[in-house]
Formats: sequence, C-alpha cells, structure tokens
Amino acid sequence: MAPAAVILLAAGVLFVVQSYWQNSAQTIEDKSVTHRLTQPAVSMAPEPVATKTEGLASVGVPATARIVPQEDIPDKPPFAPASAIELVVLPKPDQMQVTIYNSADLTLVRDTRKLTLKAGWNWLQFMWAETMIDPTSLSLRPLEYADKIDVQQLVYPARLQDIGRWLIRSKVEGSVSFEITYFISGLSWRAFYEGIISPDEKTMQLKNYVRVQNYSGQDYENVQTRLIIGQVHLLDQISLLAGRQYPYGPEVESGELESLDRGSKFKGLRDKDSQEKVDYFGLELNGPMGGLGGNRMAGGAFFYDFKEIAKEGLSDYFLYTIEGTEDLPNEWAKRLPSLDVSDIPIKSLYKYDEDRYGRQTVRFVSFANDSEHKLGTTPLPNGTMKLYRQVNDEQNTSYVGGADIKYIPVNEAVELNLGADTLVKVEPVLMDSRTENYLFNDKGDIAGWDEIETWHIKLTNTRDIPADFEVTRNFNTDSWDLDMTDIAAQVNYSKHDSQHARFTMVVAARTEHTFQYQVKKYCGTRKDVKSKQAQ
Amino acid sequence: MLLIALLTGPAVQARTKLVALPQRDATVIRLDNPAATLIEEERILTLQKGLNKVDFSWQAVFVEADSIRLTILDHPEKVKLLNISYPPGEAALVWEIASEGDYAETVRISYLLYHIDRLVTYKAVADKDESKLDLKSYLILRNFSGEDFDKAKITLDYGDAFEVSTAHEETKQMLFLKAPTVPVTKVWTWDSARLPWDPEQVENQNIGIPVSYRIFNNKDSGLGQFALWGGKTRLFQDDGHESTIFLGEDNATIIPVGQKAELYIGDSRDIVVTQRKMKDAQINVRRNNGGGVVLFDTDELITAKIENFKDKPAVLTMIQHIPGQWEMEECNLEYKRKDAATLEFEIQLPARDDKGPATKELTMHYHRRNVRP
Repeated sequence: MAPAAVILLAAGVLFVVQSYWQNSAQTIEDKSVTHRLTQPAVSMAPEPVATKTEGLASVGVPATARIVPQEDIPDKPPFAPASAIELVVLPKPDQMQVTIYNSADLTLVRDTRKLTLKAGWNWLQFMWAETMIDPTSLSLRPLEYADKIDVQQLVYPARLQDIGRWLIRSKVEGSVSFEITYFISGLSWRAFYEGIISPDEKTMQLKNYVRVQNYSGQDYENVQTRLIIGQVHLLDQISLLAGRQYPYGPEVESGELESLDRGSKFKGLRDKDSQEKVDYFGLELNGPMGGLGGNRMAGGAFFYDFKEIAKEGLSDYFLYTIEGTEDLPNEWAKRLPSLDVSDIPIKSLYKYDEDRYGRQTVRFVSFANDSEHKLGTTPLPNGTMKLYRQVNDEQNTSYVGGADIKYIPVNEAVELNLGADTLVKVEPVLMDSRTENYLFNDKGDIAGWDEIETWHIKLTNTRDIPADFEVTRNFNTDSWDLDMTDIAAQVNYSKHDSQHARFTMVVAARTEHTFQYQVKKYCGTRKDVKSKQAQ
Repeated sequence: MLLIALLTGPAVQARTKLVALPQRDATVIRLDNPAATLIEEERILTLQKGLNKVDFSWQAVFVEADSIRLTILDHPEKVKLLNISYPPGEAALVWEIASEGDYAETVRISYLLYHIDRLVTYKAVADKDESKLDLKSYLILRNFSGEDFDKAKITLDYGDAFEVSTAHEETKQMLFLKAPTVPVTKVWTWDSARLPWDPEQVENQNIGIPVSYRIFNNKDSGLGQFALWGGKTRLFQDDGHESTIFLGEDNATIIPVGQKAELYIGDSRDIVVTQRKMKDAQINVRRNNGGGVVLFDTDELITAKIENFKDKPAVLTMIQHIPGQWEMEECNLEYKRKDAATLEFEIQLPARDDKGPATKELTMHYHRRNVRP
C-alpha cells in the first residue's frame, strides 16, 4: 500500500512494532522506517526517542536474522504497552492478495510483510481505523522460523478502537516474513453478460465480464485479485463484526460508556447500503476503481493484451484469479473481460404454460454450458445479461432485452427468460366440454363421471423467422387420457408428468397453425374404474 | 450531456480530461424496444501506440452503465479494449485501450439511454360510404434524455431509417406511414353477456350497440410489411362537403402482419336488439333416494328481434353464450362456434324502408345436458 504514509493515515492499516529484550536500551538505527503517528485516539506528546525508547527493541536492525538461546529470553512477557504509541513502523507489504466472494460481503485479505523482530518479547500493533475489518478474523503467522517464533496473544487494548496487538516470543533477531490475514467488508464483485445474437437467431456471441468494486475504506495497490464463486456459510455479517464496539462483544448500550467519550466506531464511513450511488431515476451513475491493464512480454516485444483470468475448481467453489496485480482504490470499480466466445448455438423457444407465465407467450433463449456450445470449461457465475441482436453486417445491434442468469455448472443448460412476446402468440380455446359415464352410489348421488374437453391450440407466428413453440397444459388430475387422433403430424406430444402434457412444434414465418386435442378426465369413482382397467 | 475525452498522465485517480473532444459521427437512435432505447454513435479516437485512456462521462443523462459498449471498427485486431474503470463519485468510465500503432480509429459507442422514446399515433379518414380509410401513422419522438442529437438516424424495427435532429425536452411528430386505401368493414357487435336484453327494461334510455372499424394489416390494405405498433387512433369521416367529421378514437393494440384490428369508435342507436328467454325447463331429471335432484337437462328457447333503423344495410355480429355441455335443437340462423360456450352470428340487415325498420328474428332452441343443481 503506497504511498503508505498518506494513505494509511487517512484510512488503512498501520503497524507498530515494539520489542522488549533484557531491559537493554536500544537506539533507532534506521529512521527511514520510523514515523511519528498522530491520531486522535492515540495522541500523545512525543518525547525524545532516545529517552523514551528505553525498553524498546531496535526496529531497523539486521538484514539477516540471528538465533538467540532460549535461556536469554525471560519467561514472563512484558506488560502490554500503554494506550499510547509513539513509535510507528510501516513495513512495506511484500505481497497483498484479496479473495473476494460474490455470495456474501466477505473478502479474505492476505498481507505478507517483512517485520523486524528482536530476540525476546515483541509487541506488534495492527491498526485499521476507518476500514471494515473484522477484528475477530485477524491472524498472524511467521512464514519462516516457525519453530522459533511463537505468536502468543492477540490483545484488543482497553479504551482503544481498531487496534490489535500481537505478543510474539521470538528466538530470532532480525527480519522475518509474516503473513497477516483478515476478513474485510466492502469489496465485492459481480459478473454480467452481453449476448449478441446473429440475425438468423441461431448463434450468439457471449461475453462475460467481472466487475470488482471497492468500498472497504481502504486503497489496494498492486494486489493479486481473486474472485470466488460459491455459496459460503457465514454466521455473522462481516460488516456487523467490523462495526462492533468490542470485537467479541458484549454489545454495550449507547450511553453506558458515554463517560469514556469514545465516539462512533465508523464515524466517516458510509453505510454499506448507501454505498452504491444511485441517481434519482434509480440508475447507477458510477461504481468504485482504476489501474493498469495487463501487459506481458512476448518474443521480446512489449505488447498489451487482455488480462487472463485463470479459473479453477476448489472444493464446492470456483476460483477466478486475475492475471498479475490490480490497483483497487477505494470507491472505484473496474470491469474486466472474463469470457468471449463466438458462434454459440442457441435456440429460441416460445413457451406457453399458464401455471408459470399466465396467459402469455414467453420467449426463451437457451444454450448449454458444455463443449457442444463452445463452453463447458468452467461454471458460469450468476449475473445479469443484456441481449442484443445483430441487425446488419456493420455490427449494428438492436436491444432484445435483459435476463438474469443463475449460477450454471458445467454441462448444465442455460435458459434466458426474455419475457412476454407480442409477435408470437399461443391461444388455447376450449371448443367443447361434456360429461358422460355417470356412476351413482347406494344413495343415488353422483359418485363418478368422465369429463371430455376438446381444445384448439392456435399458434400464431407473425415474425419473419420460424418460431419453435412449447405448450404445456395442466389437466389438474392424474387420471386422464389424451385423444391424439386429431393432432397434426408436425406436433410432438409428450406426457410431461402425471398432470401435464407438453406439445412442441415449429411454425413457419408469418403463419398460423391450430392443432386440436381431446382430453378425457376420470372423476370420482370413475377414476378407480379407470385404474382397475389399467391394471 | 455525454463527453468523451482522451486522457493523459499515468494516474487514473488524478484524472485529467483533455485534448480535442472527438466529434460524434454517425449516430443511430434505435427505438425498436419500448423498454429501452439503444444509442449507437461513431467517433474517431486518435490513438497513440501503446496504452490510451479514454474517458466517457455523462451528466444529467440517464445511461445504464453496464450497457455501455465500445466496438473497434477499423483495426479490431490491433486495437484492444483492455478494461474499464469506474471512478468514484462521477458518472463516468475510463476505457483503457491498447493500440499497436498510431491510429485515427473509428469506434462505435453504444449504450441504453432512458427517457428518450417514441409513441405511435394514427389518423384515419374514412370515405363517405365508409368502405376505405386513408390511414396515416405518426411517430412521436420524445426526448427527455438530457442529450441533444444532431442528425441522428432514427431506426424502428421496420421501415427505412430516417435522419432527424432532436434536442433535449423536444417532442417531434413525424409522418412515417401512409396507406391511402385501406379497406374497412364497419362492425356492429351485440354481446348477450354485456348488453341489456330488453330495451323495455331500460327506462327511457337507448341501448348503444358498439360500432367498430375492422381493418387488416396485409397487402390488400397496402400494409403488411411489418407489425403496426399500438397507439391512439383518431378516426374521421369525409362528410361529402370537402370537410370531415370526427367519428371517435380508440387505442389500437399492436397489429402483427396478417392480423386484424377492430377500432371502436362509438355506439350506434340505430340498431335495436330485443332478446327474451321464452322457455327454461328442467327435463330428464334424475333424483337420489331422498328425492333430491342430482342431475338434469334443460329445454331452453331464446328469441331475439333485430331491427335496423338505418338507411343503409348493416351486418350485426351477435354473440350468444351457452355455458356447459349443450346441444342445439333448432336455430333459424347460421352461427359459428367460437368456443365451447360462445356462438357468433353474422346477421345481414337490409336498410330500413318506408314501412319501418328492417327486421330479423333469431330463434334458438337448445338443451343443456348433465346440469347439476
């Protein structure tokens, strides 16, 4: 995170290392990594370093680590530093990685830094003012000398907010790589799609983008960015944990600790719900990011190209890793191409199913996430899709409509609901209804009968290309027979389930077709008679 | 207002907008989808070899950010859009474009723009004997998008594109379809489920019978090239004195190619229908052991008198309804079964003569079967 001094003071993460060793006073040798920090919550009049650093270890010391004997380290750790810190070390992060989930407001941050330890007891202070870090997720581990460095405690000091202090017992003196991980709220990503249908509506170019947005309160620079597709189970919202007054509770009623004059924890941070800026017409005006595009070396010549997004399955999740690193400044958004496949065979289907869509004919465009459709290497994340139709050879397009895509595993079919169509219609007409075969019980009341209905299904295609229809009819009983004798040859019929029949057919451009079926429903005791006959 | 600018400087955060704003070239306003209007505009970007940042911003216009697309037209293999960034607090985006050379590159920028749309209205003048309509259709372009377009091509889902300028808050009506001789049929419709049966029962009031003009969207009408979008239709009639009278207006629904539309213009009081049920009896009654009726048939007789007081012949469409299972025992006029419970009669009525109105009688004798109480 650079420029560290400016960004970190405004909103970000701070590190302070204080080391204690054998009560020997040390001097600060490398002042280039030492800064005075002035923050309202921890302000304290600075005093001369040489006199104040008694008991503190050197922080800018050797490039190479030295191992000290066990007996040189006192058993008892030093008392935690008081509520004020005057020495601040800002070690540069070596690597930053964010793993952003799309199913929850959750990002795992992995921050690798070189910290300079003294042999003995060290306090490492981590501060995250004005960011949305879940303090209960903070974790620190050494990436080297694991058997000689013991992270013993994480202390959330009294009367200070957004601070955690790790107590480290180290047999190592010098520079050691550490990895700090934590959860943060406010980074998010979503996928969205563009589909461009060919003029004959038989193929489609599918483009998928990922849009990453950063409302975490923190700038990220040169971070490896990874995106997770999958449903993660969380007991608590990260934003709620980040907003707690005490990391693990208890929640304190307002006013109880007024005398401490602590102020609101997230003063200055905007409410998560209001982070998406929306204009008064409900349209998104902007999102949060900037940064450089990808560039790679090839054949010795420098050229620019799209960033690759590597995709791999892990457990029940799918991981997208964006090539290289990204800059994710706070409040910026960035859109990256993730998929671009041409000539995907598609099928338009006009469905009529009163149970699901009422009395309207709904247009669907379908394809599958499989190799036959030039896809199928990875799942498709959920997102919205905008469909356009190419109208000429000059790549002009016409807007067809929008649809939501659910998460599509490999080999699963995708069906886009484009809504009711006005140029293609299905009109079922009940042409005749009668009853027969009455049965009466011992009291002379009606016990059973048959209902016979004759339906005309009129299919109208006023478009200039053929239309595929799928008509689903619900008979509201599981005891029925269908008279197929009158059905036109080009209509395909299938029994969809115990109560539904499904008819499919193609109707040529600008024509109508009417087919007929007769259904006989067995009611009351006639149902029993019918099932006995079937046995 | 939409702005496009090339950017300098490496830091996107401290963005500087500068250089000559590329002029908008060919612009297409595609009004074929009532849900959203697609704008396609071409601009020439002066790209330098390497990375170029192009800022696209909009103020006080209603652009859907996810819909903004950039298509490279001249050198699609050598010019690539790498990514798009959205700066905070601005209605803007920054395209990062890599170019293999210095090009004056034509690009097409397309986006969905809201609050610019079109209405369709119709004006039809019938000739004096109401056999033909002179139909004109107007496109009403309403631009409240916040953006001015100079010489934009307007494209509907049919017909040729036409060029027009449109300014923000401007509404423009344009004639775009003329069909001077559309055959028209005047239709009177009496529906037994909607209108009173016996004028005697309606004290001192006329029962108006709805009158419509029926037209077809087909070649015979000089139409049939494309679906006619729905819209307000005002109907006039040539009065024979080089003037017209206003007949009425209706909202036409979309008329697909080959389909018909009926435009309701008002009610006629010159055709009178008097309908009465003359018989309604239960027959073939089946009772249970307790003597209660469980099933029966009916014996029903309906008569209707239709009178035409006009000095012209007329065709009345009469709709009758018989619910459930039924059989016609006798009917003196021909009918078409529209569905299981609906009968449609087309009754030719001569003009009135000196003796009085032209009269026709309908008699329907039918049985409903397997009726349950």
